[in-house]
Amino acid sequence: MVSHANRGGWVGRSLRRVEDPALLTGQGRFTGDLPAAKWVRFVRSPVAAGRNVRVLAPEGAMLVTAAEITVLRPIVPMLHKFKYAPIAQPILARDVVRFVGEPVAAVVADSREVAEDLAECTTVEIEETTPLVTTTAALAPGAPAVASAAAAATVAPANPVPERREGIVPPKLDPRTGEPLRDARGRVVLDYDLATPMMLMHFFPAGLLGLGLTALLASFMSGMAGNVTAFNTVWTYDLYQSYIRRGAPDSHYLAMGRFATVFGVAISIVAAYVAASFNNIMDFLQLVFAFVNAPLFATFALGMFWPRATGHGAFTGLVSGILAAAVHHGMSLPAGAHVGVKGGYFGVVTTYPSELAQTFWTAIAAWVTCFVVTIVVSLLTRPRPAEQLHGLVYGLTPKPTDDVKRWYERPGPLAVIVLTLTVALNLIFF
Amino acid sequence: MGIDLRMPLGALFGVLGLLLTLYGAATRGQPGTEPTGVPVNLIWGVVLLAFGLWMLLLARRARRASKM
Repeated sequence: MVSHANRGGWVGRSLRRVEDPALLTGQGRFTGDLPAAKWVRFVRSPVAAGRNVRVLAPEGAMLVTAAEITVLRPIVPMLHKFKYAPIAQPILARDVVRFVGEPVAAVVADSREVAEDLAECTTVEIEETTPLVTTTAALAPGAPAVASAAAAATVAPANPVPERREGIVPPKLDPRTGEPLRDARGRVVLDYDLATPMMLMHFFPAGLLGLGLTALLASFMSGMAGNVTAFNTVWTYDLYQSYIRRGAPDSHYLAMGRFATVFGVAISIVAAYVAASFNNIMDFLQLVFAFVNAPLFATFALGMFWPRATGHGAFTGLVSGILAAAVHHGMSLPAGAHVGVKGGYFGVVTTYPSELAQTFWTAIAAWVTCFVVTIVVSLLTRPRPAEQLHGLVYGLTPKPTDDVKRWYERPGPLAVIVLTLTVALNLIFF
Repeated sequence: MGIDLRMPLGALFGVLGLLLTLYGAATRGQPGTEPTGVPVNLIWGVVLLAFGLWMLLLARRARRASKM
């Protein structure tokens, strides 16, 4: 039997609908069909600005005004933007109306038609005032405030947060409640990731601000581009081409490099979600460095200055250094943190007052382990002949002399100048 | 021969500097444009413009020298 369905696709076929069985079989029940359901229509302000709002309802109408729903709090918008001041919006205007069409009362009736008629019969008495039509008029001195002090007060949190600010660094806000986050000791947590943007906002006027943000984004992008390029190069050239597949055509390695780029960007997106659980990006970066850079530092130092170091020693040392970092990180926890990406996954043996303290001890454990293991394994394995180490180990490499160059072409004097400037500026702005 | 990097560099800084200088001069003294009390738009505009022009000048000189 030949099926024609595939040839023509879905066109002309009878398709069985599977969604919403209750609606398809006529068994749906709607709120409007409930006997207790009522219709609501709003009475709206006919003027753009006014005060002393009085609502006169027709005989027998069921009317809800702002005075009767004081238990309902005004709607407060939530928008996470710099310098954004949320203005509470009342559900029904009371005393003051601020735009044409602002609801001042709700009429409740049994049918839509009756509710609409009653709403139209309702008279609203408003003492009209001069509306603010432009932002320039609103910003002029002596202009009436659109949001009254009472509306602004309803926005303020019931228990005001004690201010703890260091310079212009803002507090970190809970993304769900919009309230400042607090650490284990009840202090407000500051959002150091916003230090640079806030500095730009604070000191730069419009004009230079755009240039500053552009420069900031450009540096992010160039840093990202550099890291992605480094990632796919190291993977494709140093690992894939050297150890996994040799002698393939260039197009093969090019494709592998492109895949590595996509993969690397995907990893960094995942890492961003992990980083979001840290207070700032520096804390997370230090943790990564404790795992990767701390043992690598011991390997580099030994490799550069100790001719007796061997490849086996370096590899064993590096791996055991990373393992030591994992063991230390897995057995400790910063105060107030939960077991997970912040440590403690091997059982919490000790706690540290902060994440940075834990990270530094992790780095120390990793460095010391790598240093000791590299030395021990190097001494147990066969040394490399000295002639192979020329240009690699400091003691076996001829030193370049730069006596012939002028002082500003030599790194030494320049380093002294930079260091002096750094110390002096830090002392001035301490 | 590759492109002389000083040309696009000078053009970029020159255009940005010109924009910022004009904007800074036009909004001089208006509220909100000088949060630190310094006409920073104008000053930085002039600095960027000068740097851009200097780069363009160097590029022009090098091109003339290579032609001769």
